[in-house]
Amino acid sequence: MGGYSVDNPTLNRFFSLHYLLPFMIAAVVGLHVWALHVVGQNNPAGVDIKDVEKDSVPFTPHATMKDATGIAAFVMLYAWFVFFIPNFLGDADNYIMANPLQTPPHIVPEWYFLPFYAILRAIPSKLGGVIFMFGAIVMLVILPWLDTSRVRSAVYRPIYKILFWVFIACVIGLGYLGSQPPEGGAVLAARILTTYYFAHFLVILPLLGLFETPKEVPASINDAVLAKHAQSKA
Amino acid sequence: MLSKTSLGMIAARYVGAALLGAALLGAPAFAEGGHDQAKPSRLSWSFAGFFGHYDQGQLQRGFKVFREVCANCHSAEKLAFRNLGEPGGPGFSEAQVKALAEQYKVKDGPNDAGDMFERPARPSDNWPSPFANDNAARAANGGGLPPDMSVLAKARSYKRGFPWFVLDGLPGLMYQEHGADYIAALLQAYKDEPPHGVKLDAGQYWNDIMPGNRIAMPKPISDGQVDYTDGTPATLENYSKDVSAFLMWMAEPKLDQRKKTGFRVLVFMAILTGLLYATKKRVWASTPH
Repeated sequence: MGGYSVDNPTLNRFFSLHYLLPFMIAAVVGLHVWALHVVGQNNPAGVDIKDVEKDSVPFTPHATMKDATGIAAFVMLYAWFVFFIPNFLGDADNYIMANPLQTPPHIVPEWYFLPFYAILRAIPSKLGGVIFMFGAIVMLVILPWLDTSRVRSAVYRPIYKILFWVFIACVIGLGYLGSQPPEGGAVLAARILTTYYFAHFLVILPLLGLFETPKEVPASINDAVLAKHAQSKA
Repeated sequence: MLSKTSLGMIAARYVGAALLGAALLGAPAFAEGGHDQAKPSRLSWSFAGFFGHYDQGQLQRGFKVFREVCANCHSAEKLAFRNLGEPGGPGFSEAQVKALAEQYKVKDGPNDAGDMFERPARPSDNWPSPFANDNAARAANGGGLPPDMSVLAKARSYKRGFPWFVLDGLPGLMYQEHGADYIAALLQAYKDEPPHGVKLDAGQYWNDIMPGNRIAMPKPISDGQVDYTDGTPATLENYSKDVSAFLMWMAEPKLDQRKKTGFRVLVFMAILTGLLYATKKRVWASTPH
């Protein structure tokens, strides 16, 4: 940290890290493009391409036009935030002149940090809290080894499909608790949800793959699409 | 001055504690002590909503209140005299702004002899602060520091709690004027006497809206204190609304342009999205998917 406590040297070091990250992300974007060309796109059926002619379509215009539609729709949502509710996700305290000698009565991080902030505060130990907070992200890194299911797509995993949405609700709940003062029932709720967050990755995913009976997986992407069509026509 | 959050947090705590307490512990957790803060009521503002824009007359009245009452103690360092003549604002003419600025003295220099000197303000100058520094402001106000008013309307808010804070962001239900409502309510929430059994320290006043109810600012304005020349009744309620609108303008002088541009952007994007969607449908029409 450059000293005995968080101070200017600490901030300087974090700033240098902070400017480095975009370049690291740029490198990951490069990897992504490489993977797209070598391994190919994923698909909702989670089945590898068997026959390029039958199972795939050209990226342009198919994926290009579909993505462009999605991006344009998202820009509308984005414009709504920018032009009509610019302070919706911020806190009024951010408009008060910063004063290093005066901490606000309640520290509330940016909204996207709230679930992890809730985990940090749920652990009754300083170091433990930090470990679990970062551990919550590390879970995503070790996810490929935690998922024991033979089936890749959740479309053919009925129980996992439900538990996925339970997990999403758990993260939103943690986010809400992260914005509340850590008192009374909020602490208990945050501990229960934190336990569930880690249980989802470390207990549910490995066991579910062993015990869940998946639906029949189609032989190829083409079969999956044709089956869906037969279903929608019937 | 940072106590804004405690109001919000108390409100949010009640909602959160009630929800979670009832759900998880089977007993509501309403055991918090102390006095309740009243919630500001939601007023109707011309600058609210999808097509909101400032009411020029209201801004001019609000400016009069600001100038004659607030500015005696509060600074507004980010406000320049020229801003008062810009479109979307109080709409003073160039000559009016110039005449107004000349009534104020600002410090300039150093001159050729190396001395600082005072001169009449120009439209390009910022609003002169009533005190030389924070310590002088505290000394003159019983230890309390009157906050700078430049962005005060955005630096104040109150928490509405779940689910209202989600609904407040939706088209049609949009509610983004928490700060103006808070300030307007605070100005009208002074009580001459604190509730029975409460002892106020010297230099403290009782206010129903202020978080913690103790405020260092004496009741700043009462009925009839500022003359309105446009026929609007000179009541505390009108003063509070007008000055809150003015403070909102000062905090966000480009709000009119922001909303106008936003409307054009949304219309453009809606058409583009529609065209892209039609194209996408056509591209995929011959492919089963």
